Amino acid sequence: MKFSNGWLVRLMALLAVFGLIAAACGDDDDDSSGEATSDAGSDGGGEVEEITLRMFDNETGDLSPIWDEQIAAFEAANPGVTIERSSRSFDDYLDTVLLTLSGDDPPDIFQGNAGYTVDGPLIEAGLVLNLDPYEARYGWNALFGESALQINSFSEDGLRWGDGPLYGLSPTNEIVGVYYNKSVAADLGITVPPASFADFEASLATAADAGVLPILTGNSEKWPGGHTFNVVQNAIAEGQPNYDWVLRRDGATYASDGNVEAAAKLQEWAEAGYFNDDINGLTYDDANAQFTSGGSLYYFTGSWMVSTFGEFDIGFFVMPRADGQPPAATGALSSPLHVSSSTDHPDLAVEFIDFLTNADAAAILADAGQLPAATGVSSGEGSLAADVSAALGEVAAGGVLVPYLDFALSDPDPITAGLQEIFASRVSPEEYVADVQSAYEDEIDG
Amino acid sequence: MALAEPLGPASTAGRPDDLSGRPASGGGRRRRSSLTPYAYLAVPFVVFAVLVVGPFLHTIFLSFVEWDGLNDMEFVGLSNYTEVLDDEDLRNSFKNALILIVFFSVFPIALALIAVSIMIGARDMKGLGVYRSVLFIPQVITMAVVGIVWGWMYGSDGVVNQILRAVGLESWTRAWLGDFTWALPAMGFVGTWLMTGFVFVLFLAGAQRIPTELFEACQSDGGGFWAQLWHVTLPGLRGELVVALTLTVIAALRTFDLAFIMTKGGPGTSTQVPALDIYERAFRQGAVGSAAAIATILTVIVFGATFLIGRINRGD
Repeated sequence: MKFSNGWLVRLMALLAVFGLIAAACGDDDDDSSGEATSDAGSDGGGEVEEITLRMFDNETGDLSPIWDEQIAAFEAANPGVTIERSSRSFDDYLDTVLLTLSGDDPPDIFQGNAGYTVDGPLIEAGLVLNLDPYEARYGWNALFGESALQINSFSEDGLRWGDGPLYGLSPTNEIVGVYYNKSVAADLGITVPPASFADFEASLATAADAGVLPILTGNSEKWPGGHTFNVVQNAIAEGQPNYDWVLRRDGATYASDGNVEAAAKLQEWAEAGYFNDDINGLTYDDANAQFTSGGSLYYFTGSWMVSTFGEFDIGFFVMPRADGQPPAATGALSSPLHVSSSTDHPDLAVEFIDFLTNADAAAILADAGQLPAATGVSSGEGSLAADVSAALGEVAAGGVLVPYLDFALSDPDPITAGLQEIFASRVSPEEYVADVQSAYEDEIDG
Repeated sequence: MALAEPLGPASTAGRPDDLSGRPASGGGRRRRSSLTPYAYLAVPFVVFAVLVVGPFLHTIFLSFVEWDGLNDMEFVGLSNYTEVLDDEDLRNSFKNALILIVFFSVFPIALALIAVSIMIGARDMKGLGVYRSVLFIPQVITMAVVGIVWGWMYGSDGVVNQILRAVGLESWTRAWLGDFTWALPAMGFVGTWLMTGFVFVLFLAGAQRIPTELFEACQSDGGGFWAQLWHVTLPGLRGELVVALTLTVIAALRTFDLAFIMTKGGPGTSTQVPALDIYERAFRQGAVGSAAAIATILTVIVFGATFLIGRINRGD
């Protein structure tokens, strides 16, 4: 057969080149994975039983390298055991978690996410191992505090959160609070942390009068403004009713006087120019960068920024309550580690998730500037991590740690997009809380 | 769809008039085994059925159930549709998609028509290839990159505001994507930027087929630039116009990447679009049925729009 069309020959040659390149890339992958498996086989030795536990998680940030080291340590302590870890970024993870776990052969260990959107359906489907039988051996209630563990417990039918057996263990804790730039505060002669909510408000006016932006917020993604609101909310509204609301307790309402007052306070600050003008158009990452370069006096966000902000002259406090009561704050244990109910090695898998979260692990995490979930570990003194750790201790001691509001709604838009409208004074505080409550009731009824 | 279209002529190749230029012997052989063409068709048809028709029918099926993606499905009849049609936020999403059509279709087509008319007036212009390439570049860039870069440009210290400040329009500066009034037009303008080059290249190819005599005739009748555009260029480009309209309208209706990357539908719901609703419901909110219902409605709208646009080419 002879080609009469030269261009066709060239086209096919080009496609063949693409094919070869693709094949070459594929070969590389095959080779490396081939080596990896044969290595693992020879490492194990002859007599020990070979066990491979597969793990699926959403830690691609600071925690990821720490886990890799801990996994190596666990494998060294348990000859013959291999942990096969696969991670996805939190956003990708949320898109795929239910599909991944609905397969015939789910991973032995996987990370969930507290609340009714991820953990609820997983427990309802019977995919998650009940950890209560192991409590006697590991003593988690004492280590983490029973109330903190509530966030990882569920009724056995997966329909009632915070009420039933324990299903997961979290490595770290999170708290949302106020970061402040120490040198900006010193220039303005402001005492930080403030002694009272009134002092805090006065410092906003001081900064604004001096031409310094009081509070920076980058709310283009919608959720960061939610955390800005949380700080004000927990200073004004009672913590417990909002806690009950997130866990969907009977009769709980978002349309409380406290939440209306908090939204009104936020709007009042926005109208007074205490936030940046481009609040709804600035991204979270850009706002973080502006804050570290002295863009504002205060910045409200969560403890996950500690390792980034720790390199700058920045401090942290939890907002004092307007009524002078012990402080409340938004926060929760991080995404819990679960053991699959269908794993062949439940005892070993439980031992492994304990290994990643117990007191020894907490010491490693604290050293790395993380905020461990296990109590009784102190972080390096004078550091930002120590500030955050102290703030969390302060809340745990007498106040309420309110879980993230968006745990309550599978579609957080009424909460977060609504706050964008609050910042822009397009809705009243009363309309805002009523909208959120009506979306909440729709979801529970539907 | 793309797989099926090239097959159109092949399936009608049995008609004698299609073979006018070729040896007649082929027709004879074909008559002996009339199943042969269908055997050839079967392979792509199976691929098309598995990859396109199957998922499409599955989506329609899912739109009648309530499902979180994991636990048991519950058949709920039409209630996903009634809920979706009752949802004020969703009507807002569809309204935004319709507004985007103006930016993705109407503006690019108008701009490209004018640009092509100017080019026709200067047929021997040097560097035509360069203009064509420059205008086409936006089509080559990955949408994610387009979204991120335009996001920076629209920022409070971005290029757009720098230019406004430089020309003394300080009062016009704003965080464009954070502004309830301007976020949607700002996002739409990126669509105009994206689509104009594509439509232009399409029109230019078509315009080069219009006989020069027609323009000369129009000119000698006293027709100026606009008369040539209206009476010669536009009718000459009818086929290209239909293609451009179809593709740009579909692009507008299914917009996802720009909204996802630039605004997440905000501020408020001012740039929320149906594709974003589908994604959020299916992957984030465990409301697969409701997402499938929106997807089905969106598909029907796209089919409807494509059908109406196709009519332009037929009826006079």
